[in-house]
Amino acid sequence: MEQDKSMENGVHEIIDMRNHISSVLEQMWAVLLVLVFFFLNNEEMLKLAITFLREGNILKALAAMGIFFLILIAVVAFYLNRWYKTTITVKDNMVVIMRRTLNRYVNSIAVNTISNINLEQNLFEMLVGTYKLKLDTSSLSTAESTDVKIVLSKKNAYLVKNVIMEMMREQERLDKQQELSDAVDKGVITEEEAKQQLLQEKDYLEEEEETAYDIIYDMKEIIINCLLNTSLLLLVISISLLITTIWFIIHTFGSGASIAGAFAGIIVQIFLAGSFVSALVKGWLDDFHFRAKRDKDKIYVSTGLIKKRKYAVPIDKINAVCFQATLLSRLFHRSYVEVINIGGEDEDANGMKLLLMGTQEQLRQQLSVLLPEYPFPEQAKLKRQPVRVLVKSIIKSVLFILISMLLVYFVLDIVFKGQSAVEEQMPVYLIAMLVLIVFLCLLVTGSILSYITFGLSSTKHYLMLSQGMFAKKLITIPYKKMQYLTYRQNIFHRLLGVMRLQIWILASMVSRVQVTGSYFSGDFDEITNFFQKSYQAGESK
Amino acid sequence: MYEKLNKKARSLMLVNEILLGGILTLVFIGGWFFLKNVVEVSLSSLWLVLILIFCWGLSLLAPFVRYERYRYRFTDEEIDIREGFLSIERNIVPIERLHKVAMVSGPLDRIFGLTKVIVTTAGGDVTIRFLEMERAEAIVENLKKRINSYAIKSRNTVDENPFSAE
Repeated sequence: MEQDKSMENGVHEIIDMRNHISSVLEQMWAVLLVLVFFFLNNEEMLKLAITFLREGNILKALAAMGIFFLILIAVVAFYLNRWYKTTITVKDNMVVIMRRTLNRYVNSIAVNTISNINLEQNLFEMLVGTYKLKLDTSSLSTAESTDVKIVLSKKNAYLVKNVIMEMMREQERLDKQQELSDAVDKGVITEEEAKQQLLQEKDYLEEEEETAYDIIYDMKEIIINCLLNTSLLLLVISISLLITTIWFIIHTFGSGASIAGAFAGIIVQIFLAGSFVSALVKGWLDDFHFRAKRDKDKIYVSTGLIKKRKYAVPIDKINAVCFQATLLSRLFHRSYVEVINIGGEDEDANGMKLLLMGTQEQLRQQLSVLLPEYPFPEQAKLKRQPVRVLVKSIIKSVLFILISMLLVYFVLDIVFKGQSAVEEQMPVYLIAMLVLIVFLCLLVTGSILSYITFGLSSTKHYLMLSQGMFAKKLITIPYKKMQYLTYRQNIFHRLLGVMRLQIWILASMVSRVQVTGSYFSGDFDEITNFFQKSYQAGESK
Repeated sequence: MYEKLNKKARSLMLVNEILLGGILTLVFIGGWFFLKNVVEVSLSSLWLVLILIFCWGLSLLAPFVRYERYRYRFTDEEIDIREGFLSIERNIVPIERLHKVAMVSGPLDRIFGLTKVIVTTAGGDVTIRFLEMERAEAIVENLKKRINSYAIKSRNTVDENPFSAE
């Protein structure tokens, strides 16, 4: 193959490589399904075709299914044509996707803008032996989606990945080349040895998946991670459903009531609890055999059972590091780590998982291996919002509920006007007020939790902020990755003399803006100062 | 040194608010008639009058406050904009991180000879509103030069690297 020769000759480029042929089937299976459905629902055509087949007249049977076959041929031809005319070229530090169909399409991507390279494999691809290679660029316009998706055989997927990565690592390679050349000049090594060493560099890239990972999670850790990642509310609902199901079974069999009715009830409850189980199973499948390693300027992550995913994230494309904790994991003092970098999609759109649930000490140790550039955020050093912010939040909740009570009173008054006796209306009023009081309690609890959760801290190069109410998110953003800052002060903030800060970074819609809690304006002076220094000093983007 | 907007900006803000206030008045009156005649809720017209007075009061006050509060500043390194009426906002945008600069004028802007300059970073856009045409053109020209100089500087930094030359 052309591309194989290229590698052997040491010319690191890919010319006009096509998607794997299986991608045609992968793309058109939904259309095929519709066609089969249409065919099976067209009884007359089906009967006629079967009659001809029984008579042994295959040609007539095919003619009877004429429309069906014409559409099928058209669909297959369309996808085959698209497959044939779509090629990927990796050359001169550019990735070019070209589609020469009726609607011409050429997508050229500079290799140095690529923010991550992912290899994915779903069940179908696992059976066929292909990989989906995904490329994402540091671009805001494609922040919510993947820029390039190509399905290739395992060998070609790694080949393309390695060629692109090698281009990305050009600087390091040249560095190594220079180092070896110096060594040859000084007579420390021979030219042949230098060549071998350079080849080993390349071999390492090609066999990247075989090399040892720095962090590997065992089954127990993955299961704990799945459990702690679930929503506490969902867990409570599911346990309640389990208890009621057991009660339902005992009650039904004990009283001799209709068994069919009991089963129907049980099935409904199992279905309701299903979302909890499915979330657990999905988490387990996604994080199965999760492992991560650091190699020079990139972090490699490999994970998944049914859908295998392999990320390669360049360190300089990481815009923030995020420690996430669910309410359940907060109770066990555990959190997991994500990196915010541009371009992932689906589950990776808001951040790519770097580490699974772990204690502070475990995460500190693991991050010192994977990402030593980032400081480990110390919870104790995070500054809380002024107490007046909590007081304002509670007063706002109380006022909101009082106004709601008045509104509910007026609405019920209009509804009940002249309809029934006051004694009959009373329970409705009481229930409505009780609901609002419960809601007030929730709001006040939320305010207190929010006050405890929000925090802010800064070093010369990094800003650390925590957000949340029940769940918690602790983000570390380098100043040089902040795109701009917005200070906001609404009427209430002005009354209290506080403000909020919004930090805009290059990320997907959800992560693009990170908001601090409300602090005195003086608390932000240091942050403004460090931010200004990051570009006054001419640090790169 | 912060710069203030031209007085034409206040007039444009006022026209904007009057148009918005007019639309809101129609919506309120429509809603009022719907509640009174279709849903048949007995409501005093005094409420409608009070709400409209409140809204119009805010609408007519807003341009004066916004105009007085609006300040912008260009330094060698950053753009700093302060604005707002009920809610105050300050944006600090490093010129080094700009990707794009655009000048946009709506029909009302053109009537008043004003325009907007939209600066785009990798994290989003920030708009400098109500600028006079000549001032906006000068700002855009200056920003373009600055962006180019940053691009050249960053390219030279790469070229200066001994390993980047084959």
